[in-house]
Amino acid sequence: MRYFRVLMLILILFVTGCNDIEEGKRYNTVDVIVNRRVLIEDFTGQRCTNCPNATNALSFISEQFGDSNIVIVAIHSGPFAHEKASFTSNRLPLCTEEGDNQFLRWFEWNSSQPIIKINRGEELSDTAEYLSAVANAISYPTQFQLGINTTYSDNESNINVAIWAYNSTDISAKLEVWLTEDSITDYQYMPDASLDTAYVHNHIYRKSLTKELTGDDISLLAYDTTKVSYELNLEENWIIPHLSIVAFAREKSSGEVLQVIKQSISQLLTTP
Amino acid sequence: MKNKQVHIFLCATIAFISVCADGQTSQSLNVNGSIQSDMLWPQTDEKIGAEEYDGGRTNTYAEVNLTSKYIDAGARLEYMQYPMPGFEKDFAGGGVPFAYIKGRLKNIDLTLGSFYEQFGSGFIFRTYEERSLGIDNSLVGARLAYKPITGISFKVLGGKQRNYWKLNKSWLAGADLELSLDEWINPLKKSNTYLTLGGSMILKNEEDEDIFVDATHLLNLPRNVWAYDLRIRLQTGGWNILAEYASKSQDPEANNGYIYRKGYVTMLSGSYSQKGLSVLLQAKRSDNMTFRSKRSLTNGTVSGASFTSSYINHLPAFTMEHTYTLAAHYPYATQPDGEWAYQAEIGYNFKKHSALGGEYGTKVKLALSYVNSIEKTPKTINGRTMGSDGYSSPFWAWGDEKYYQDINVQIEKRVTKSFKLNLMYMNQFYNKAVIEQEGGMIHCDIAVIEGKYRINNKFTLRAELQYLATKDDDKDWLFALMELSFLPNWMFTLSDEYNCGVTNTHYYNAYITWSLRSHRLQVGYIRTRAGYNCSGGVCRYIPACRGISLSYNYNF
Repeated sequence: MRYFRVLMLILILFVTGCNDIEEGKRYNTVDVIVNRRVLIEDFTGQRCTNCPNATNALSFISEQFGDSNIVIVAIHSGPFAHEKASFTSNRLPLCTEEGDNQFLRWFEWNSSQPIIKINRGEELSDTAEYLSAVANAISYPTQFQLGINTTYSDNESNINVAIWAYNSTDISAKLEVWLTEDSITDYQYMPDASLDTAYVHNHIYRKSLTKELTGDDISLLAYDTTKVSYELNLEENWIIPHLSIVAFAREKSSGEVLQVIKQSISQLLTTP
Repeated sequence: MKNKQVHIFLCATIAFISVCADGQTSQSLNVNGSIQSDMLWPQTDEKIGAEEYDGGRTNTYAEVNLTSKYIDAGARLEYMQYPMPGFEKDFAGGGVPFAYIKGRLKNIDLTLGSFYEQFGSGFIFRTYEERSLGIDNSLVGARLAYKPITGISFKVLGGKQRNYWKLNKSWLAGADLELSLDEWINPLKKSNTYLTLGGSMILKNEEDEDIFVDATHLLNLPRNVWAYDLRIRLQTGGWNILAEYASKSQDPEANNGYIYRKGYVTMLSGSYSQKGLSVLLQAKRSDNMTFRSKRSLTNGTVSGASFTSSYINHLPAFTMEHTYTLAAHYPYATQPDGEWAYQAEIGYNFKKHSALGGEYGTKVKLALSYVNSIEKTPKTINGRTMGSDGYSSPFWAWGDEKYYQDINVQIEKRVTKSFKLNLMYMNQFYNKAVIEQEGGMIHCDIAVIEGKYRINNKFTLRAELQYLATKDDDKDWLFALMELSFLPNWMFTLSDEYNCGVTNTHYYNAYITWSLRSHRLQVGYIRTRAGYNCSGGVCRYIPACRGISLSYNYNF
């Protein structure tokens, strides 16, 4: 009898501790908090069957928080951007040596893909985690501001890219400036293992404009605007209306992104 | 610097061995334990994708247990500051993650500290260690086992689960009761019939967290998730029948896309063995039964970090675990989303001096494994999957995808007093897109010949020749192995796995193994391909490696 009472007590504790949540009570409403822009580096590959799922998840996040607040860069790199998983196998069309070097800054070669980095902080493999992580990142306030101006140089095959930066305190940071391209049609393996030969790829990482791949040093005095300029040599196969400049500043010690900005080149271009 | 640390640790381990080797037993206290150290000095090999590492790598374990009449105690030291390839960076570290003290008095025993336990087949609760897969999901807390009378076994436990070098924040509590009815029903006992009823419950309590469905909605997460398991086992004569059912309450987590569908597992297993004949038939249906002590952890993708941590339960694969290299080339991993799995085996031992048995007897085994998806009809709330029930799934309905199929026949025959022959043929379907998230369906045929020849009382030679033929993936493979044993202490092994289908790459290994009483030391030079190491349906991706390997094992 004593054992039976103990068992019944345990059973009651279990049952009363666990109630099903009906459909109408599964969501809690919260306010949208946007205090900054967020950089999402998507390390992806054309052979990566799960990567289109990641792309869709990131597109959804852009819709939720606004395109201008979410800066996505798709860096085709790593084992799934090569013909075979081996580093020495041929790169697929959207993969570059620079992209692979970006990948190897953070991950071992045989890491799973897709994998994203949010503001150079969290690394996430599962799309189910993206939204919560971005919602947290986007709510952190920042005083750091960035702007971009682009002009044609004398010879219209080059573009001058000027980045201006502003902060409310003295700060030493690293500035990274990238060129990205949208609307590239090329193949992509899909989640059902089929091959989509006319997949439209966006936010493709093309190159870094800074002297070092890891970025250039930039020092700001409080409330002073600092300007840095770069030259971009246009390649023949690039379509200018599809090109954008992504610039972001990150803390030297923690590496976390302080602010990011993306501007389409064609919107910015003014005649000299 | 890093190589030096590895060397220092190796010397310390050897010193530890010497201490332990000096007289370990007294009248009331027994000391036992083990040391296991796997080391690799890797080299870069661009052709196979073996990457560069900064210094040597090691996974080293040293364990000691003290046992006496009333109290046991033990601890395990682990050193993985530079873990072996394939073990994600979360493994890096060292310390004593496992330590316990256990007291026993009459029919009660109480464990405080770290422990492993399993309820039934493990569908709702199984904590265990599998070092080659990097699994150690032990609980740290308390466990009480009580047998009040013959035929009743009761366990209750609680604690937090290990997650690499930390403990997850969630609390687990559980109870298990087994009743052996044969102890109370005399006719059963007299007829050597054993009838066992079992029931278990597990409760997970995890604090709330922000899981966004969209920018303006968070999920209302259940803080408590419970699971129960019911089972009945009947053993009589050569028959053994087990029926088991388990269910889990709403458990929205990263692995299932944060749906609120409950989880279910049903299994029926029957086997018969008598006088040289053995038959096994079993079927299992699992549906949304991933159960982890941290809801936001994910499976990851198989090619890369495998994220095998924090599982509360274990769903076994109903597929044969092959030991031959090419037969294990495409190993199956249990799909957490759900599957219908079937397994059948029949084995017969043809007696010696019979027509089919020959002079020394012949064993024949035929095995079939088949795994298919379950049917799912999606369900959403206003187009959202997160927060919905996810899908509906009729119990008997199969989905559209075959996950795995394996039909194999094995023959084991002693041809002469000195020579034994093993033959195997296997036909396999492996859905690489589902299991590895890349590629398509792979259909292959595998043939194996293994011979073992005892040259004399000291020397034995073993050789294997295997061939995998397929039009898919990297196409055909050839494997050969020669192994010379020089009793009592030495063994020399050479093997080569050659991809003759696409890459024309050799993956060769050479080992020298020395054993003396409880010591075993293996030194080798390896060049291994990237692939999966699987056990019990759980797999770990191991990248391509090349270098000098050293393994040491000591049990005392």
